[in-house]
Amino acid sequence: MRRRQFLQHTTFAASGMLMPGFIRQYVSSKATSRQKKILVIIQWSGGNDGLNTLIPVGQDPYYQSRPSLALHEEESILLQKDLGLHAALRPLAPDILGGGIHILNQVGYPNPDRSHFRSMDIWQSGSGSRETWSTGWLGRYLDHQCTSCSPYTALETGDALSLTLKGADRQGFVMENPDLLYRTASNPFLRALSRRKGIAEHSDLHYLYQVMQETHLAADVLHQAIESHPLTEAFPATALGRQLEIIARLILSDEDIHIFYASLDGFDTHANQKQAQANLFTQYAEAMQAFMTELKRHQLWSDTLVMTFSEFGRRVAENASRGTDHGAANQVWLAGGNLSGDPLRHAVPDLTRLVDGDLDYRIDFRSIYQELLTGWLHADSSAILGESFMPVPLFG
Amino acid sequence: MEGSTEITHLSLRAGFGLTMDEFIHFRGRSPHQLFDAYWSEQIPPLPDSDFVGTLTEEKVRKLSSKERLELRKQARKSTSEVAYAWFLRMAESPVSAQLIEKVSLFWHGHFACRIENPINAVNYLNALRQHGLGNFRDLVLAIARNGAMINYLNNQQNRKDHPNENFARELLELFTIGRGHYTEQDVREAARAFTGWSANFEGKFIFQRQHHDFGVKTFMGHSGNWDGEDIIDLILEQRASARFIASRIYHFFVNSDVDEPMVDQMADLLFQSGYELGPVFRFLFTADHFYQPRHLGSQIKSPVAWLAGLSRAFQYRLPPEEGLGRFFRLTGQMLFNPPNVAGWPGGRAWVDNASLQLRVSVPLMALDLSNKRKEKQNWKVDWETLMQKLPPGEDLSHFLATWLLAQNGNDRQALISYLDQVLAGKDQSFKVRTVAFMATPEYQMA
Repeated sequence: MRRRQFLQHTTFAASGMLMPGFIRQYVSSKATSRQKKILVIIQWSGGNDGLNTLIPVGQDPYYQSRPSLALHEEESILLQKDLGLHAALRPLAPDILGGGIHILNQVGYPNPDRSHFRSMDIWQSGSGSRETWSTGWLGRYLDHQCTSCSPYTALETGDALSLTLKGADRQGFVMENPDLLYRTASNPFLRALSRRKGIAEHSDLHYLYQVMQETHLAADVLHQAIESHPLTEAFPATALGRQLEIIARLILSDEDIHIFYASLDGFDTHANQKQAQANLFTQYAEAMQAFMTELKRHQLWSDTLVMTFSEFGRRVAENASRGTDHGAANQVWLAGGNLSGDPLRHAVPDLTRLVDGDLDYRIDFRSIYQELLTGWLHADSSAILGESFMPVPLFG
Repeated sequence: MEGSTEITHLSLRAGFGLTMDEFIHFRGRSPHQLFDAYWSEQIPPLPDSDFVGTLTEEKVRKLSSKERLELRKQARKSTSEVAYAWFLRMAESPVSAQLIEKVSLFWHGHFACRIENPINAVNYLNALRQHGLGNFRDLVLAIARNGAMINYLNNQQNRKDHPNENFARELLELFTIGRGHYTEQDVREAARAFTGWSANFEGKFIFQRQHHDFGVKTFMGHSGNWDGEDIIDLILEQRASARFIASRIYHFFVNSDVDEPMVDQMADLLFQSGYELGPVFRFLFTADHFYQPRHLGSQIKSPVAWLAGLSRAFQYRLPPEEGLGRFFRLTGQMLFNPPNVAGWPGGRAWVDNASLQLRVSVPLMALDLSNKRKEKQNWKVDWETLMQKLPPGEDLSHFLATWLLAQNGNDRQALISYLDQVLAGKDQSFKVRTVAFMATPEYQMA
């Protein structure tokens, strides 16, 4: 059932008197075919060790700096003569070789910050390292492009909204899962309370009432959407698997939501990195595989792009606890049915020119944001990012 | 405006709201009387953290990386206990200590600093409390010499041979004068003046002569062998600094839509008194301007102010094991953990669907009608005692609305009528009514 059809069946919509104008406008606007490209961001929180993700096979400094951590032949899959893939990511190897997954290496920014919080802030806001911005890059996308979007155009799976989806005027929507959202948002007293009218428009109080009403609307719609869209593919029952399952169901059921945000934590591997990273990659690969298969089956993969990033990479040299400490430039993974060019053209890291023992950046992360905003979402990138960056063509 | 509305307005801005007893005591008085009660020369410092104990730098250096990780974990836990102690002061301290707690919360956002060491946390907080209503120059200097800030903005790495500009830049941009009043050259020269300002293992300020640049610096057009203290003086010589601080105070305590003439008056007061803060706060909170109807209930409360006010009104101590830290993470304001050096942006940024849903649902936990079945421990608010405080013959809704919300008469009447409608035919008890008011979006406003 489409959202709008569903609304017509609810008492909430039937009693049009109770429906505030700003909600009526989403409901009455005409349904259109899928015009908006789907963008999914996956955040690897903690700083993934990129050098043990894509292995620079044959580069001596790699083996010298990592006597205990360097991955050897049997622990990786050879993608090309100078590049191996962590064995736990094996399910994704065919997609990489087939051009459905591109990996860009040494993505970063000038004057890198090695604090998790600060560097994540920089990636999420899209600022330079010497500025602090209080809005996120996709929040500003909502500000610029979304004058009459539904309140859940951009949706995060989690318990608190990330800076990425916070704009100055508009915000993304966050929920752990539609069932929990529905249960917490179905308190009859709060429902009745939120329908109060006559609050001065444009006031912050009005904004609170609006957010409350939108939450109740979203709870009904998303809960119903999930109920009515069982998936063909079985998703793994892991933290990321569950998030991508919800996202897949929402993609199939509601065209209004087209930006999604998920995250996977645990990449801060200061000690005993090998097992921890392998577990995370197994989880990532299985969840991604299910997600891609499901969307391909519904012919939606060519409308979808998944970007995976981490706030920084890790030092080239391992530490004394069989782990790695915070580094700088890192990989960005892009997966989708519409990518063009050699998927590994930016993938081989250069270990001969390190800065303070870290990989230097070759691609500013905002070049990728710029390409996603202009080439994928057809938005005004310079208004959202504040300036122009060196282009990194990704789409055909 | 009714007197009680002014009282509630002042109590929500200069403090964290009033208990029932306090409201009943002050509601017939003038807001000046409440401000006098807020004003206190006695500011109890927080107890020192005994976290260091027998630890020495030497011992810490010898720890294995696993032990060090464990120590960091303990330090974070201990820091969250300092945050909790501070939160309890906001929620429970008498009227005479409310203003300083609110002012400290303001300065914490202004001198935003992430702290994971309990000793630094106590020292930092005591600096805010000691100087928060005192002299701004003393406050800036105390912060510049504070171990927490030195760590956070990497000033221990600011050395003659490799100046680190982090602290100097934020000092100018965020702490004192604001953008547009200094050059990049000023940032570089100021950084040189702060070289060698560092902190020891106990978080105490140390001046490392060997790392200090004793050369001539040219800062804001003045050349000399300046050190950090001189730089602060040179910045504060600019009236623009007084203007910047006054506008930050106005923004936090009055309205994000800054009134220029009012801020100019506050800036003059600050500048002419050599940056005395007390007179500015007294002027602000006793000026007619502060009580203009447009400021009433116009601000979205910060999560900390909201929850402190809630437990103050309930006279209920939230035990930390009831997920207090989690509340603050989910509502977006963790003490000693601002999002970045610019502090919390505030306003609508406090609110997204999840944080608002949580905020309006929390009061329901004091009833048995929370619809989260797993929420086993409902808050044990002593409703009997609270109810007995209600003066005989009082109209319950009117009392609750005037005590809990700063609204003009028409808005109040509209809300009361609406709640009457919503609650018609349902439990009308004291506790249900109280919780109903606290679950309104209006209660999210100050």
